[in-house]
Amino acid sequence: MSSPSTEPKGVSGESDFPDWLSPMLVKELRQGMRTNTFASVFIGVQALLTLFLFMTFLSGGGALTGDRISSFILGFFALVALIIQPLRGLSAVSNEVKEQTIDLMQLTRLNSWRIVSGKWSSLVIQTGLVLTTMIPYLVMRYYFSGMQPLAELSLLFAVFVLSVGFTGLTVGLSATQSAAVRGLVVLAAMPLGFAVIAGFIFTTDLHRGLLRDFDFSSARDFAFPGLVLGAALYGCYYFLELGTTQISSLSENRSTKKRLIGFALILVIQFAFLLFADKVDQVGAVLLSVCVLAALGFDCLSERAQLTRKVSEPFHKKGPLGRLAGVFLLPGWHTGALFLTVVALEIYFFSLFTQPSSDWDEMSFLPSGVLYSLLAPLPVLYLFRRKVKNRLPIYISAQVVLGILFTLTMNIDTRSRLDEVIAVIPWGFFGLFEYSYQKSADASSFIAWHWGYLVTGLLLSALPVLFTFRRQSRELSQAETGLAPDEPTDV
Amino acid sequence: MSTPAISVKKLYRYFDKLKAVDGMSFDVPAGSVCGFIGANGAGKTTTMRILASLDYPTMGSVEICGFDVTEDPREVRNLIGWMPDHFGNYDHMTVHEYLDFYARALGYSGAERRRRVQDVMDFTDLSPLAERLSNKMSKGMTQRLGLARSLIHDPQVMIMDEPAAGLDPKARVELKHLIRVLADEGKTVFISSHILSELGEMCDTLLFVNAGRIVHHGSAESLLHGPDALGGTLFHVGLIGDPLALSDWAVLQPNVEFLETRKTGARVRISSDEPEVIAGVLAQMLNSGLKVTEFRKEERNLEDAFIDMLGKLEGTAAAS
Repeated sequence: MSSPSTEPKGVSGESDFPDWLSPMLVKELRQGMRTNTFASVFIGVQALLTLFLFMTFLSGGGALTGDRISSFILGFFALVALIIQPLRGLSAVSNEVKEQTIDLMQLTRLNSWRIVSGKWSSLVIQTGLVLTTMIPYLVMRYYFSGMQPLAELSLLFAVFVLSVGFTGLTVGLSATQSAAVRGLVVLAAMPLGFAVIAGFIFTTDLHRGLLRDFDFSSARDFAFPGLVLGAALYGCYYFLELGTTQISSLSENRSTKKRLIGFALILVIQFAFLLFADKVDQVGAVLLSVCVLAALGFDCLSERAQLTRKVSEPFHKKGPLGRLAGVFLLPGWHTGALFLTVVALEIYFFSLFTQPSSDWDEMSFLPSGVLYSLLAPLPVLYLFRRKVKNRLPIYISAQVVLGILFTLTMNIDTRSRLDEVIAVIPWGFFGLFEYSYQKSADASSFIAWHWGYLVTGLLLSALPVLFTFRRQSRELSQAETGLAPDEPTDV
Repeated sequence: MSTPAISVKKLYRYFDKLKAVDGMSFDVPAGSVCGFIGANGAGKTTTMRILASLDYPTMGSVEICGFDVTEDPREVRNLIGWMPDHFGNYDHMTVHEYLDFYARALGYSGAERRRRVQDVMDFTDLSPLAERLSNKMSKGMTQRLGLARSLIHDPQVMIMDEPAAGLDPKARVELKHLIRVLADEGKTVFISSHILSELGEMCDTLLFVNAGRIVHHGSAESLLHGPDALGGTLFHVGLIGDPLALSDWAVLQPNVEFLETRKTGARVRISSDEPEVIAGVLAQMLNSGLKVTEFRKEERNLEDAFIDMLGKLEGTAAAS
């Protein structure tokens, strides 16, 4: 093997992709563009659009026909970008795990992030290819008059951006290995997706409504597209990281960066709302922050809880402050619970200091309510702490059960419902909005219950982390004298 | 003293209450070929996955050329070539594209990448199949492809989990030859297999595991004739009629053990090396009414040693 060799004989395909492209992207493009799904979608969409345009030409022109063409083009692109391509991502990583090829890839220089993001980027590039093939049809549509080029292109781009986010979601979740979780995504997303696409293909109303949101005629018009862009990009990053964490090795610390990025996003949202305090309602900042908190919660609380010295060493080496940071930022659901509390408290104080007093009641129980609901399955996680390697399906299942329980409770007639029960049921805080409106009651008892549960739960969660951390610190000082064991520790 | 290629110290791996690996410790010197033997479920694959940094120990340490598999997986991965017992191939990818992908993933570019891909294809005789789809190949060819992939970065330590499983005899001989060439090049080879005779021929040392523990570590010779060997003399007995008749007869004899039935007879062990005793037993067998056509003395092989050792361990477990 180490013997010298002459320059290889020519083999086709050896220079079809440049060296600077990611290996995963090269592999996925080689495979993906040869699949029957991509070929049929690519050819099928072209054939349908050509046929549709031809029939429209034959039937005469006009602005209304132009609108129909725009709506039809958008509908077909949305079908490909929001349904077909993301669905292809649902088995992207799970197939590699099932076939044991993920092991082979992880033994190369590809880290987990490059594997997952490579799968995602290949699908996104293929969607981009479909998007570029839409341009000739849009040029033809221009001749039917009544076109708003900027708005229509922006709308197409927005669908593409959403597709980027959805593809991130499916590729990320494909790493969970749980068919139930992936099935849940299909069940939740498909009816909504098909309803939207049918709205584009069979009517022009939805298309016209969206065009108004994307015509950028005033500064406020940037808000909705900006929100779509921000949500899609963070959502995409979030789900790709979620998938990466599922397949990463114990020596990789993915948690610290994820948590800090999530927290930074919350601060940016709040700062942006403070900056435009005279133009926008601060409630939006709290709601968006809580959405990011919920996303962080799903991720943090489904993490494995094994710590290797390689991961905790950088925190130990930075002294007392580093060790303190480690308690919140090291991988594992215990530290995740503590981190979420800090974020929830920050949102709580933000809402406390920025909301007008009339809004305070509703906003004040939102952070505690979300955190309470996120942490509600802690006893279940604790129960399965040693038995289950992949906690995400268990965590999601627990949340689904809680969601069903909440829905059943909310359907009980409000007159016979015990309002105190609402606060005890996770996600029941949604009912508190209604409660506070109907009875104008003080929500402080609910908040007290939430924080009571949280403080107890968090203290119990924090203790193992603190003990492990202290032990690792001792081991680290032993390591410097050559005595340390290397085994990972399940906290 | 030089650093061992593989160093395992007090390795434990639990899956809930199942002890897959239960306190293994061993060293494999650099440049040697070590066979890893054990029944199904003995903990071989789990151990090998930990060596390859694909799983992590519950306790204990594993080092490859001085690098810890948990703490320094990147360095370990540069040093090892991993060949699992089963791995899937990719749809819509040719043999050349498959190897090209792994060469890219290992960080090679340009002429260097092409040279390495061509080298491993030449070494494993896959060059004529470069344009064939990788998922449309026979099991033997797939194993060769796996070997080619694991060799792209010219690793120092090869970890091979049942590489010959499911291969026909010709493919097995070819694979054995390739492994021998690798060993001659000075690579450390850690290999598990169920075909013990092959391991005996190939390996410098054998590691015998049972229920997650090492029960023998030494040469094939020491396994065959060491203290665990039950001793006695092995015979093939040619018979006309049902070989189980011999089994029924052997049960009544204090110094005869029935081992297995064969197409033309059966295999037995006479628990003595003394010619007088052997002659007496064979005479009794002839006089017992069995239709014996031949006696053939056989050498003890690794399969016998394996079975002996398992029997001895089971006996010890039952006694305790």
